Amino acid sequence: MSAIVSSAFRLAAIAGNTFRESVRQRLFLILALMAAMLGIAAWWFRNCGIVAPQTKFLLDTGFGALTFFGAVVAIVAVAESFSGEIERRTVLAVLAKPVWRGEFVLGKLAGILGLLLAFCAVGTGFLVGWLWWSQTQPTDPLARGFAGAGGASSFAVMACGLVQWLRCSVLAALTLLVATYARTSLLAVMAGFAALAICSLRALVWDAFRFAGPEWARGVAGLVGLVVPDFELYDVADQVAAGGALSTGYLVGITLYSAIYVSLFVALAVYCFRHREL
Amino acid sequence: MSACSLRSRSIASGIVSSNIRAAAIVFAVLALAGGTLCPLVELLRKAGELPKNAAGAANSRLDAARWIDVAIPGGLRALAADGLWLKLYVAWAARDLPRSEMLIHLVTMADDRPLDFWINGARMIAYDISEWRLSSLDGGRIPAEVRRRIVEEQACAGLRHLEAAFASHPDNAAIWVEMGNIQLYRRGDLGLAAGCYRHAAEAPDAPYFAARVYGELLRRLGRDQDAYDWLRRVHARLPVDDPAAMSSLVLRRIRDLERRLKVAVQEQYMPAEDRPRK
Repeated sequence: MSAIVSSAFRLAAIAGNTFRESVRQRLFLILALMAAMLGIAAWWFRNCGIVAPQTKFLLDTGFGALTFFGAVVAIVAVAESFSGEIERRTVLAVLAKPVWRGEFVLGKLAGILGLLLAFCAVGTGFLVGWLWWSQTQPTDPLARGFAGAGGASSFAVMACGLVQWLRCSVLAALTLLVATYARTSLLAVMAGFAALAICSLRALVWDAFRFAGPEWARGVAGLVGLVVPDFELYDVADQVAAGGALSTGYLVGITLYSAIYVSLFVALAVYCFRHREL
Repeated sequence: MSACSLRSRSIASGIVSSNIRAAAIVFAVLALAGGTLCPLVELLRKAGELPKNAAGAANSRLDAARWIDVAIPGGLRALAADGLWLKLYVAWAARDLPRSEMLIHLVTMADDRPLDFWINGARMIAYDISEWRLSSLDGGRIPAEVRRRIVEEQACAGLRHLEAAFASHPDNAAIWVEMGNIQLYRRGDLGLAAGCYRHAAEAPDAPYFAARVYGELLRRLGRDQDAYDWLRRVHARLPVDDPAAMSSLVLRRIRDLERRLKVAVQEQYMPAEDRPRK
């Protein structure tokens, strides 16, 4: 029992340290600043949405920033924090202490997930705050003529923020798996972005599986389609921005799906890291 | 061969085989998980009201639009499409034909959700671009056959653009109306225009005028009896208190048709509000 408690303490120490290190990184601050600037720009230009009403325009832009910068933070933070430690050899100092490799991997991921949670929570908080403010303002009778104008609920926006965090978490875990294999942090970053593209294009891979001519091409497409998680399942921002809601069944299902993939990626990352020559 | 080199070779081959083994295990576990999670993915697509998996979809998009989905994640598409639309206006004002055509398609690829992009784009293709092409030829001295062919080509291009819109807006009344307008005013094909208006009138979000125009087109096609039967059915469903429904105008047209068709007094149409109550 005491072994589990002390292991949890070590894990929490690594996670806390990873979180602090990542927050202090210049790149994270720049990305957070860019996301905030995009949000402020969307606020200023909310009347310039050509065909979309103000609410939809701002939610569209906000979720877009959350998805894009969240993915960049997930990939870069994992590569920098994990592969960077291996490159700088600081990992040897950590592993020289009574710390298991599995604890190191789990602690790193927990710290990054905390960072992503903070990033998504701040972004979603901004969107919910804006939505609340806009609902207290007198409505423009012309704006009511547009479909979906002002129809988004705060709960749906928060649920969508949670879904975006889940997507970033799966991506971070996948990048961690790649990083346990990659020899440099640059390779981990490149592989992370490639993985993001493949996961986002999984439907295209299935199309190739259906329509590709040669059998071997169909086999490869089928295998790739099976191996990678489907990021299209997280594409619900359009629906929420248009005033739709996310069902409880979907939220439970997507949480379960993400938890399964994160657990799998972490288990495989621990396995790969335990067999890696440092 | 020295013992040292033999030893280093065996270490290297050990590392390579260990890496290959790890990669094989990772692929096998992920493929197994992907196969097991397939039912959950389909359930999530249903619960989240997401498009069906490409493996079962009738209109899978094996085109550049998917790559744009990845390049411009989530809601940033709205912002990118608005920017492209502004560029399109600049090209349109400068009568820059190739640039306008390219941007019309690019805008809808970037964001296929706003209906205005599709409809205004089709209008530019069918009306404006055909006039630019005609004016770029020799002013008013163009042979009638050439003029007719250019108008026909552009009208067909506009119709194809609108047909592509059905993939993202299935059976939308506004698209059918626009197709009817192009068939009527550019191609002068009353029969096809009537077909489009009938689809528009039967769509779930049909405007009242679509049914009136369909009736009028039937009359102009010489199908007075069909027009009479149609307008009788339409008038019975029209609300009397909504000015947009123009119930009295439809009734006047019914009376005109009754005179032309010499309908016997006892068989003439009687609106619900004029019928004797039991």
